[in-house]
Amino acid sequence: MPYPFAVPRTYTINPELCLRFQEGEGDCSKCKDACPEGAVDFEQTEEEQELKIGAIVVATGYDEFDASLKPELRYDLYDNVITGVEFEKKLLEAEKTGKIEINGKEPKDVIFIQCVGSRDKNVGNEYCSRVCCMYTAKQATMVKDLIPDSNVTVCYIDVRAYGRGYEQFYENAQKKGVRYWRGNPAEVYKDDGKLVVRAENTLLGDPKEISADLVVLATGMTSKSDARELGNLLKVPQSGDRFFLEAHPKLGPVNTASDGVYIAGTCQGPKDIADTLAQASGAVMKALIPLCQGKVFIEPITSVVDEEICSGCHMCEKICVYDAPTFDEEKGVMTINSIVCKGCGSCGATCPSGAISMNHFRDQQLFAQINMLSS
Amino acid sequence: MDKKTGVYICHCGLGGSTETEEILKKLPKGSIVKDSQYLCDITEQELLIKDINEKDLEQVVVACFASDVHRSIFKKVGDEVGFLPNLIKIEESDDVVEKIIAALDDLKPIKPEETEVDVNPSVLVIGAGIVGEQASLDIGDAGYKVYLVERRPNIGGHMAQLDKTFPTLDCASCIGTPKMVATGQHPNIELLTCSEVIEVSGHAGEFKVKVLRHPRYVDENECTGCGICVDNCPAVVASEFNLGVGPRKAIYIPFAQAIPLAAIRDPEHCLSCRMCEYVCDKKAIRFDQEEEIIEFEVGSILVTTGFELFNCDLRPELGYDKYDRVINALELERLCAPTGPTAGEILIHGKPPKNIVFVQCVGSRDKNVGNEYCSRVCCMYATKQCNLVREKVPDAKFTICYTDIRAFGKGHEEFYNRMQDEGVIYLRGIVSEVYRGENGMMKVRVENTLMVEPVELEADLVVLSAGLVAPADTPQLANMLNLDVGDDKFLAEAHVNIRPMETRVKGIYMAGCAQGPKDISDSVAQTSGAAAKATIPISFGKVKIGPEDEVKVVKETTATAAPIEKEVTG
Repeated sequence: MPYPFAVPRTYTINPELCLRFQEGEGDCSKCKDACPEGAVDFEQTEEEQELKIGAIVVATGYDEFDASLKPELRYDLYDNVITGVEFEKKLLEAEKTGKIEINGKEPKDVIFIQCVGSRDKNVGNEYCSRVCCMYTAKQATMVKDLIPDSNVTVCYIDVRAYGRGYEQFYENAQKKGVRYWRGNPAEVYKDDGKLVVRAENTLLGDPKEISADLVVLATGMTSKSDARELGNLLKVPQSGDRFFLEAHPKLGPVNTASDGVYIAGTCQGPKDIADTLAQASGAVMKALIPLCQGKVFIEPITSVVDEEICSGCHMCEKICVYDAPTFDEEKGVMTINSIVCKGCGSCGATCPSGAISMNHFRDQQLFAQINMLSS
Repeated sequence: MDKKTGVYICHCGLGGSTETEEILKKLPKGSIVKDSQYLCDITEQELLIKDINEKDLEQVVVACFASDVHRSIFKKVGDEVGFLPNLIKIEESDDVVEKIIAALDDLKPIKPEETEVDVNPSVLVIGAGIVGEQASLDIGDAGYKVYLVERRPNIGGHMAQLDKTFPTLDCASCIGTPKMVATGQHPNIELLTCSEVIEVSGHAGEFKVKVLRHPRYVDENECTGCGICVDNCPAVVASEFNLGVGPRKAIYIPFAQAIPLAAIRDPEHCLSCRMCEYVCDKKAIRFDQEEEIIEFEVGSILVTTGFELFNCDLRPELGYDKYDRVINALELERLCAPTGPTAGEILIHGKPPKNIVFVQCVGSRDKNVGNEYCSRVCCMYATKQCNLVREKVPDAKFTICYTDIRAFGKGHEEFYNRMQDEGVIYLRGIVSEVYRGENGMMKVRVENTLMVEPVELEADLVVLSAGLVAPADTPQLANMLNLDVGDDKFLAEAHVNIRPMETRVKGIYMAGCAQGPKDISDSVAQTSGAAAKATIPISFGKVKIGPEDEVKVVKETTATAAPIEKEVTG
């Protein structure tokens, strides 16, 4: 079970680790023998289920930025350079034990480094991850509470404490003695067994080296590594930051290019819990509308095939990203599924025999517009 | 204390363990005290029910970190055993044992006194800016009736006053007007402009609502918005919609795309010459219109009352009330807008401004004016305005004086980087003073905190990036609806992280800036979320309510606003 209050509250076997699934390791069945309910089933296989549903909400979340892509911060090299998520687990333990321990010792000099993998074109993430400033403020405050005589420094570019109560929280962290140091570190290295963080204090115009026993990297959010595959499956494009692209930032922040497919939470872009939940309910509303109505309305501009001309060459089928054209075996021509057709016109432009045109937006209309503009 | 009691202390948010013996000493024989983790977990609750039944416990106390959001979770326990656990909220600074012992003296039995009531299939939406419009459209599209109440003569709110929106530079009218039109034409939306909600009573599923309709003095259904009355009206006053930058008449249409497209007469400035009545072909002018009160019932209420702009006069050192070269950001927005009073021409003292300084955090992140919070939009709107002005004045120079640049939304950082690349100077430092130099130009005194040197910038236009504040009458509104107001004076949500659209009253929801500053994208996503919350009980048809869910009428009407547009500079 991944954690004590996991839902569903069920154990799962990791076949990569389970001896039974390793070749030549015999047939251990200790868990099966021990389970009084007889719930362990080694014979389970993948199965496909088919569901008929009226709407889809994508809420696949994010991946954490891989800190080893910033080699100058030595995340791979030193075990007292850890990510914010790893530190969160340490803090969870500390809640029970009352102590933070790194390599068996209580850290006295803790440095938090902001914007690791965010606001950084070098790693391809120009965007802000929206939560790191505040999760760091929280973690820094907790360190100060648990180790009052510690020196806690947060190296930042801008502190983005924008949400409700955030500014007060940020100020409270400063009051507790967390030092905010404007300037993001260039490098982390070791000197005499101790970590050294090289950072310019941009407020004092002063390059400095600060020593630390613990460096916490505030790693940002990135899109899921398999977002592209899911996007292809659902016909939901990605934006430049690789998160899913909404239909319009203001008119349709939870809608997508595919009708009936909605996005919510961090799969659309980094955001905090409150904003995520608000958006999630927003996506629910959009999904509810057709369900409440029992009907959907489709766009009037869709493509139509002139069956007299169509030779059934399948060119349109290959170009269409929405899978709207299919071949009618009986008639030997292509037909368009007008429910999935977006009226983009790609098929019409591709059709070598000119058999496809757009309802309410025919070639003649388009040519008339071009003539008007060019005359 | 004679009842057999079970005390459960949940440690997932607290850590550590409790001196259970201390508490047990205070309780009668047969009582139990248990440390637990994850009491909200279903297995733990089953154990709780088992304990109650096996040990014949007569009351149960649950002490946990976030008791305010967990009440509904323990309803299952209530259904099984006939009473609900008494929840005690533990905070980090509390001595857990002491707090529980203190609470034991004053335990009242809580019976699950819920009744199921029918839900009226309609929703009241208060405030018709983009947020109120979007919620109304969503609920209307789902097939339910919406009463959309707006105090001003037209819908559209602040978004209608904007030129373009960040970070995509979409024209605000191009994306706002279709929403306004759709709202005005939707068969399920009953639009009540010039109107205020004055009384609400009842409970989720059935709220009784009284709305005061101020006279427009024009028959909304007859008026075609042709404007002939406006052309003939002799009385001229400053236009509220254009923030005083342009004029309007005493009978007027606030702006060209106004919905409903009908004139309104401002009795305060009307000369009563009755010229309008004489020229109107449709005979739509109604000098004898009076206030009327209409009453209806709804199943849910959505509060989308938005924000007011911070009053820059409260920062006298910035010279907003003294110098006409110092303006607020919304005024600049009206100057930039092609539909604005200057048709998009930006002239300051007859000349296009060449040196423009933006002052950030005016009325935000500033305890001196009582607003500790960040307004969330000013960094990006100032960045956007540099772009807007540059389109009109290509050789203008821009300096933005800031504390932190908070470009956190989708595409914001990219936009901020682009504007830096295009030469906008971001100077880190808070402006201490704005005054007039000898040549008549403005001097902006600011410390460049990155160079650690005080500088004086010369500017022919100073733009104050005013923050967002709660509408002045938020306390009265909160009072009427039995809602709470936060320290920042915006309406308080049930829980800042987990229930951001719900209020303390079941059936009343909120969205957009009524709950705190946010940009259009976040507001629009949130308002659809709140619309979902309001729609769910309606599509169920039934809702469970307890005695605490009743909205009590606090006092008689709180109507104060005149039927004309309230000023928006706050």
